[in-house]
Amino acid sequence: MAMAEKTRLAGFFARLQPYRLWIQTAFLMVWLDPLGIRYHGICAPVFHCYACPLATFGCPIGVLANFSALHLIPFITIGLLIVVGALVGSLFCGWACPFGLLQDLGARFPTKKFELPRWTGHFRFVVLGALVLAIPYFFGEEHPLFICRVCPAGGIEAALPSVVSQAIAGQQIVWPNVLKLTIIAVFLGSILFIRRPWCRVLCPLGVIFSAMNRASAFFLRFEKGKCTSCGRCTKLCQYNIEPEQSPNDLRCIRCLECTRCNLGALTPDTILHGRRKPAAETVPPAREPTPEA
Amino acid sequence: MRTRASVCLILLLVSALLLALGLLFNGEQVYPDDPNNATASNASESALNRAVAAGRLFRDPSGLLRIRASAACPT
Repeated sequence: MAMAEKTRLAGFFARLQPYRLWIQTAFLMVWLDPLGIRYHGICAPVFHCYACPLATFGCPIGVLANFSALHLIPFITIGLLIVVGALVGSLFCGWACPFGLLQDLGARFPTKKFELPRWTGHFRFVVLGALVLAIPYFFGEEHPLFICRVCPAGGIEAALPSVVSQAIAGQQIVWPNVLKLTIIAVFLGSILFIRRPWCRVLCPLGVIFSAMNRASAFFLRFEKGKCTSCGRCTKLCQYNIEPEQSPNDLRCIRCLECTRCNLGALTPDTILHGRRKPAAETVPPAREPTPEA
Repeated sequence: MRTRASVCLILLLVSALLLALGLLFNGEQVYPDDPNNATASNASESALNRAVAAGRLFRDPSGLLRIRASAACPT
């Protein structure tokens, strides 16, 4: 296979690609601070419940919902989300989100994986508009569909650890309600059969970031001249996207698996690309795609 | 490419404006159940008064706005 000449950025991500799971795990150490340092007043740009006993930072979706319930505008949180989205789009979803890591680990179970219709991705807008903004605004945090009440991340990262800690302390165990337990069970079951079901269908944070994929400074460049329409990038994409048609798709989590195409037709790039020279040396081709489990 | 760069720049400017607004209003309190939380000082006075009238906020003896305990995170 011919060596593909790539920019330094593309070479950098090509080297990181085989270690994506480890990078997600390293980020987990940042979001779950065992030293007990807590910055709940600052939001992390990932989906991680602040009520988790080990959470270092706050959850931006929790902030949006709680502020909406108070009829206030969280300027700093919205500003942070736009900064991250404008710079890297949904890159954090694929490389840093702890809830994404949990789903990636679930997908490693050797079970048959089902594909979701593409239109299901639009449910994320409904979740953001209704459960995060409208319901808290009009009905307050007491409503049963307030996002924190139905969020599987809250159930897994906060409610279940709370039960465990109560059991360890010998206290009376206060179980989460039936709705919460059902949501947790459905979520844990679904990640075994569908790749990243939460991210692709329901995540309100992911839809904020991915909505900026088409405008972000970091993006995926598709060079038609290098493409032989072999369809490899589509096969490499685990999320039912056709990268050669829509490299910065609304449903893309920017795992960058599609850039493993050895022809170099798809490469990560930035808007500053035109102002610098490509790397002098060529980088080794990305590793061969592994067969599907 | 130029369109992308322009939109990206606009987004960054908007976010800078939002961050500046947040900092201008002396930061923002994030969660209702944080012990030191509750001043919600990024909000306008009229918005705070509406929140007080609706019972979502109250003023403690020192005059600080606080979020009532029952508004704690439902998780």
